[in-house]
Amino acid sequence: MRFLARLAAMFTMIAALAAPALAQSGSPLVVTVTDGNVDPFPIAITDFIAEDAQSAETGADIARVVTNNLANSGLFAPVSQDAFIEDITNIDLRPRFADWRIINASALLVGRVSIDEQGRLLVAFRLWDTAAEQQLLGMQFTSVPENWRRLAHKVSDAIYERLTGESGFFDTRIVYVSEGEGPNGEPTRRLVIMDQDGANPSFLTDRSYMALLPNYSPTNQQITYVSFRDLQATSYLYDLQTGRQEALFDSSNAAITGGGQSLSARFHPNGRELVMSVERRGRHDLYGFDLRTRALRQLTSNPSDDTEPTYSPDGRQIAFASNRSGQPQIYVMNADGTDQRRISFGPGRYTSPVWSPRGDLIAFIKQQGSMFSLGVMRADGTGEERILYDGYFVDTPAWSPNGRMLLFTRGDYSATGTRYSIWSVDLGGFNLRRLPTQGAASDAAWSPLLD
Amino acid sequence: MRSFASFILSLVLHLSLFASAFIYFPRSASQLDSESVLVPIELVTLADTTNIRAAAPDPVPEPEPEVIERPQPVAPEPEPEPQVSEPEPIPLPPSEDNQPEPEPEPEPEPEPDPVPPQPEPEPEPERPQPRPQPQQQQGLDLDALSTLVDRSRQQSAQNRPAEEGETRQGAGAGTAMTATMADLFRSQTSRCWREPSDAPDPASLRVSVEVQLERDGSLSAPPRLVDANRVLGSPNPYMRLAGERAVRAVIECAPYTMPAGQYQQWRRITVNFEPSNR
Repeated sequence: MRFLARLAAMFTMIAALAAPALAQSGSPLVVTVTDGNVDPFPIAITDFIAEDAQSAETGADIARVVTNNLANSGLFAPVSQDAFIEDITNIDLRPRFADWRIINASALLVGRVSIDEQGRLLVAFRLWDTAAEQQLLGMQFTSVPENWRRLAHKVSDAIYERLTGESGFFDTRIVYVSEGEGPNGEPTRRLVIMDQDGANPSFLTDRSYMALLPNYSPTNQQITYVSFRDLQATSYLYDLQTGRQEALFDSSNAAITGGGQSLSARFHPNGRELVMSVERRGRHDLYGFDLRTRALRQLTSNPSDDTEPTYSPDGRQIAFASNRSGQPQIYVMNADGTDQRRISFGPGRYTSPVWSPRGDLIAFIKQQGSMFSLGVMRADGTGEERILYDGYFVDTPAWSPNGRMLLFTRGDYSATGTRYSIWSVDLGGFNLRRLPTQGAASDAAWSPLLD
Repeated sequence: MRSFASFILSLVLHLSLFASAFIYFPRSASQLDSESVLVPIELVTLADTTNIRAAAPDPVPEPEPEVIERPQPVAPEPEPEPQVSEPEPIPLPPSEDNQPEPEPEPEPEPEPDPVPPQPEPEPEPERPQPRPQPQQQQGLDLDALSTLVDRSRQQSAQNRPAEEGETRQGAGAGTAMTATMADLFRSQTSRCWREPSDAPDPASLRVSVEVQLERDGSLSAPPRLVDANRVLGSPNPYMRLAGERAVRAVIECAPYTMPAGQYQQWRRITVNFEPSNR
């Protein structure tokens, strides 16, 4: 009996010793890491070195614009220049990486600006990985000197793309509605276009009529918007490069006449077609519209209201809001109007669907009681919806061209009436920022990347 | 009679008290159980305090928005026409000759890299010691075995990784110890790992890094990405980034605080970075 017990003890000992003995014989310890952080990426951005007096200021200006862009994206944490140890004097030499690691900069951006013989501005930069001590990116851009700001945006986009894996959104523009007052105190609504970071704003329309709900073409510099003239809402197409604008429908278009009003035209991803909601005989239906042939094609026919259509980025599907089941909810259908199905089922009113440029999500506005929310749901209707922002009033979501951020109109209560402003938020519901517009603003639309 | 009634009352009360213990005790006991999961977290805090990395000199004084100002912007330009001229710069020279081609432009730069006088002479991976190599005990000496097992039991019971053990060279470390060591390393690495959770399908972005450590917890060689060609040459940019981020995490979190006594067990570590879809 005792012998048996001893034997059993021996076996357990062998078993207990086997594992460590194996580990020790040279097979490495295996560690599986499943949780990390999503902290902003620390990057040091030095002033670009100027090679001549002419471009001296430009170097610092470019660094400032790049810093501002990257910080505003919420994905980067630029390290303060006060902490810098090494003074970069030549971007073609390897930096002293330890000097940058010690101030916790994971990446280092150095650059150079100069003016060539033809008077053109040259901007070159290098992006270094301070941990691996390798160059991640080196590029050079050329332009006229007045364009330095766009070059700074292009540098920002290149860095963003290299470090996040997705395309940037800095060399873009935003169109929005500026709310003001005319000389006699009447309300005005004018379209303004500006750089994504708020620089270079200018008016697109005058005070003589109200302009609302701009939408950007995904392929070129065109927008649609709705004008209110003589109490009539009409969709307009505005070519930003030529300044030419035209009403999408005139009285000669038989399909629209007879009191028909059109609203919120959005572009097909190919930029040559639109989808919109048209009101006829007191109800709204969805129509496709070919910009070249001017042919209107009815997509839905329903006694209830179908509004706010938006294309999927592959152009095969359309999401829209409809009150066919009572309160407005979000529906998806094929681009030809078939296979209509509901994808939102929560309590409250779901409106303003906008399909993400990445294709997997649809942004929406939800109103429940007196609370407005901006949220995203999966385009196939699976999973939970995700609320990104709650507030007193929220409306008109607009995606950044890379699908990473959303702009939205936010109304805040005040004694003199609701105050409107445009805010941005990222997909995680973080990095809430007010868009730098002057005065009250609403209805933002984001351009594709310029080229 | 009265005393009998009070006896009954007391009995009932006592019984209910007793019964309540049955109702609640198992629940609190299970809570205690789950508490043990917290162990690695405690290690994280420990590591944090000893790690130098926390010193961040940069509160990022918020770059002057600058752009936001533009006091007289909107007012000046009255008609829509002006923008016509404004958008024009876009199609101008900037774009065409610049960005997309890394071929022509970058030339001027490329050479530079090697130029430097190489001021950082590389910390010399001092890999001198032939490693005492814990004498593998071959012969099965029952007595020695049983003392070893006793010790390992004792040790895993008190479960204090960083303490003593130089004399033992890890031979007696039980499996529980190894798990703790993995946790210890994991808790120190995950701080520096920028998770690709915002990429599409993060779970497909698994990469592994092979790490070699000195006895003091510093890297004895640059970390090596397993399958580097596949990862860094991947057509999926997120995959390439996942590889870079994994290597960066291992470098930035060094040196590591590990129990010196078990050096042979953590001299080489394979770190699997496995993001999850959520």
